[in-house]
Amino acid sequence: METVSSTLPVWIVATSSIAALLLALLGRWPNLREACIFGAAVIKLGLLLSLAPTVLDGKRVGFEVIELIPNVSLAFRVDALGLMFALVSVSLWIPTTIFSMGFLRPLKRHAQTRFYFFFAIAISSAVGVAFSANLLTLFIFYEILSLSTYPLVTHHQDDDAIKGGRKYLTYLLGTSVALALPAMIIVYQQTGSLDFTNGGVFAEGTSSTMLTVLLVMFLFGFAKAGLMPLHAWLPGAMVAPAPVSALLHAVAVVKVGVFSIIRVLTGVFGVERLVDMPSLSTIVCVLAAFTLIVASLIALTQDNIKSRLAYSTIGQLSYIILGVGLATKAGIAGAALHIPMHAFGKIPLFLCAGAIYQACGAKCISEIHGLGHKFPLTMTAFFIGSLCVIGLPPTGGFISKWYLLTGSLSSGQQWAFAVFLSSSLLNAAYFLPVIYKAFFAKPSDPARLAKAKEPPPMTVVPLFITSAGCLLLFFFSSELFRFADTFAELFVSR
Amino acid sequence: MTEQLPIVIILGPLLAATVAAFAAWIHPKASHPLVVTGLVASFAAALKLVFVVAEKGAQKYWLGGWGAKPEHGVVGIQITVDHLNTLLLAAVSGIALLTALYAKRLVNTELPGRQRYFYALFALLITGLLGIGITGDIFNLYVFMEIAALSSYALIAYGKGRAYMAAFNYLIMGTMGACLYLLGVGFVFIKTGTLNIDNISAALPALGQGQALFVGFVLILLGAWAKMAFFPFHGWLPNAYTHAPTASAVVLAPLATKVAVYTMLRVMVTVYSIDYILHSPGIQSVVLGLSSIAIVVGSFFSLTQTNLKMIACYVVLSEIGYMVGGAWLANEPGLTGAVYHVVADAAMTSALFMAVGCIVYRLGQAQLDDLRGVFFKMPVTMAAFVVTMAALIGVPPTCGFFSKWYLIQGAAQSGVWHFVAALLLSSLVKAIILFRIVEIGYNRVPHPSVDGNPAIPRNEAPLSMLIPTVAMALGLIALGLATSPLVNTIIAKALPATLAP
Repeated sequence: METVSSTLPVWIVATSSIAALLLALLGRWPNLREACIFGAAVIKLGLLLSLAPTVLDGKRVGFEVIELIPNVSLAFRVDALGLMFALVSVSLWIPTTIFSMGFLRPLKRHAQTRFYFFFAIAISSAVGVAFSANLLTLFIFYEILSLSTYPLVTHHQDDDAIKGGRKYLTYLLGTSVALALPAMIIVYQQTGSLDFTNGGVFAEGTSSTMLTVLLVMFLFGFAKAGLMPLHAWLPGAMVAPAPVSALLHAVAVVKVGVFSIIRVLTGVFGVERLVDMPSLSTIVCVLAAFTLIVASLIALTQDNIKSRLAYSTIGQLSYIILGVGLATKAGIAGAALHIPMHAFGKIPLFLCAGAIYQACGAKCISEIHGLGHKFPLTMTAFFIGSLCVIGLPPTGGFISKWYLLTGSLSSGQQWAFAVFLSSSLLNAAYFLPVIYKAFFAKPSDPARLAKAKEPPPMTVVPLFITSAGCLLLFFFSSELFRFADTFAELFVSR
Repeated sequence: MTEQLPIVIILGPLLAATVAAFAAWIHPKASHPLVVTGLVASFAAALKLVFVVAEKGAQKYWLGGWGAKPEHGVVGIQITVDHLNTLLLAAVSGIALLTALYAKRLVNTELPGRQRYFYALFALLITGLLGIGITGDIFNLYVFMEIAALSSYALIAYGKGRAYMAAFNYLIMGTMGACLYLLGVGFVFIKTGTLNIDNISAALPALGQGQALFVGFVLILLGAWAKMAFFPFHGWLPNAYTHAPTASAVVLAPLATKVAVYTMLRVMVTVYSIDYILHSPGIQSVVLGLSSIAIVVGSFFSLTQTNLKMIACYVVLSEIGYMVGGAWLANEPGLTGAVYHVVADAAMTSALFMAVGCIVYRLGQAQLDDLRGVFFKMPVTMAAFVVTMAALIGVPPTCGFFSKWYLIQGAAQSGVWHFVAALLLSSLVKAIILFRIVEIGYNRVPHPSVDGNPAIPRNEAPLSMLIPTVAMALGLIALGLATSPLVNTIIAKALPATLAP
């Protein structure tokens, strides 16, 4: 497999950090400050797209920055999966920023510069994770991401925010330091290398106990993936402002967790080893399947819109892990595809929740009865987003779930097929009533409804963009599928 | 010229110390620039020697040329700069230089009228510490140990209130440690007939596992442990460094303990040998156990404290456990981690005490409750503080991450899992401390309505303190990024060849 050497990945990662420094200086001029973000996002997107032809050719673009410890460098290497993840995060950064402007400015929220600053750093580190060539580089950006999102979670600086922030750090920093770090060091001590290698890094005959322990340490060490029982930080992080929940806690942060697990499974353990040692893949599949079902069931019970969405996210993340755990080509491709599909589906949902809160202060599903007539556009966007997450045509979510289901059949694990299907039913069960109540139920609080104002255009436009994205992904899924397929091709041919 | 560099390292501060006290008769402000000049010379020489050693290997220097030839007998005094101590010398002289610049404002407010004594003692302390680091002779090491100790007792006793009592406690423990060390040196001298480290290490293998040598070894270790405040000899440290004048604590806390750790490393690696340690396995497991306890106890006590200086002191105590444990793992990654951490920890604790010193200078006290809004009051200082705490937690790419990396790798290699657990626990405890301070200093302030917080006026530390603090904090990241070349060209060669994988 050919690797093209180029400094481009470094610049792509750095773009939003440079933008962060610039916008910190431009804090006094909000228009300039936000123009700076759009500039950075567009440049970043352009650079990413310029890498696409090379990567789709089956080549990789790499660059080694500096050797950190013998044989392990701070190094970047862009492959199809990394590029696709980066593309999703950066392209969604633009509508989310438009939404943030509409969301934060009219309310005269405090510390907007700080908000945008840490947001840009978080995007940088998410792309850093996507481009990492080895476990150490990945870990570095993973930690920077945890730390840079803490000020965003505690943005409101009230008691709830501080409590949510504490939980956030305890889970994310705690698990990564206590589990992922020692696991990584043991891998280094055993193999002398941390590079992601397609066949895995372990020598033949490494004891299976050791592999099992390491696998569990990695699965729980990257707690951003939200595997139960280490999921509670995500509902806690919902105290953050809506744009943070939307882009970071439905896309960038959580998918960094899943992405790290995919990298560990494919690059450290190797797909062949998962196939050869069914006990390993069983651990992955069982943990993911459990999370998938239980999170969906809990989501049913949540009345707060954002926490229902958070539990839904926890469940959807496990789709991806389960897909990779199946270790078949369709499963891996479906898992990779589910990253953009779920991202595009979940973002309009979170943005709608924010828009509704901004318009009438409602946080719970029981408070939005009858809201559909007042805000038809917002609720339609919510409808399209939920279709995408449930996995119904004509939205992108259908495509990824299709491949995941094919993958579960071709792996011979029929029970996974059943899990996927029943979870999709549960997804429908927790989303569709929301739509139904918004449009057809009697208003629970007519006074509030009468007072509600139409959300400003700055918050409605991003809803359009993202929900249109859900539909477009269905019709143009073949473009994205090429990324997923190029990635899956590396490991399995069946 | 290069061959004279080793002596410049100690002559710089030594001459500065002697001149500084008297220069103040001529001009009251003369002592500070003199001490700074001496330290600049010392640091320049030490830095140059890092490159010389990396390129050409160990540099040995005989004072006055005595002892260079066999007919001189045993009268010569040797100083040595080799792979084991060159980084330490550069770190000690560099940190001392930055601290001297940093301390000026603090000394003027805390010790008005007594500045010249402070600077003279400061330079004398640095002479002692650099002497311990550079000497090639275990008796001279004792002499320098006493020079450093006596000046530090005085530096601590300059504080107010309980400082006298704390200095007295330290004096008792320090003197006991020095006595034990000297006694151990006596045992070694009786058996080998020499005090020169090279000669001892040449003579020891032939003497085998005699009891006298073993007793000497243990006594020297006990002496070093008392000096470095290793558990259970740690009782003197928190009080001494908390009640000392801030300027004294800033120089003592990072350097004095680290130099004592170096003494232990020197004795373990070149005076005796790693083989010797591996052949007396009884103490190895005991020391590793004690190291884990030191880390855990230090971490938990730092959690219970409400005074920022006290917290910093207990952090120092837990870091001592890192280095002792790493050294006693007696394998390649463990020793690499210990040698690297001596330098990294000197830098980290120095940055920590500098940041705390800035806060104390502006707020007058350092109780956690007084820190409300401190992030808005002193944003630059607090940024440096956060970077420093991140390094202590072990967030990559700071130096703290890499030392922890090697230490954990070493512990995993030898299967000492309690040490791994202790290291990780200590990381998490430090994370709790950092975010507790962030919550108090940043989040728990009146809700700001727009950007910034106009309710809290900015009151940043003076530039003369701020610049060294920020430089030190940035240095932590630079040191982290330089890990691989440092380990490859210097630290790996400091370890005995038998350990190579």
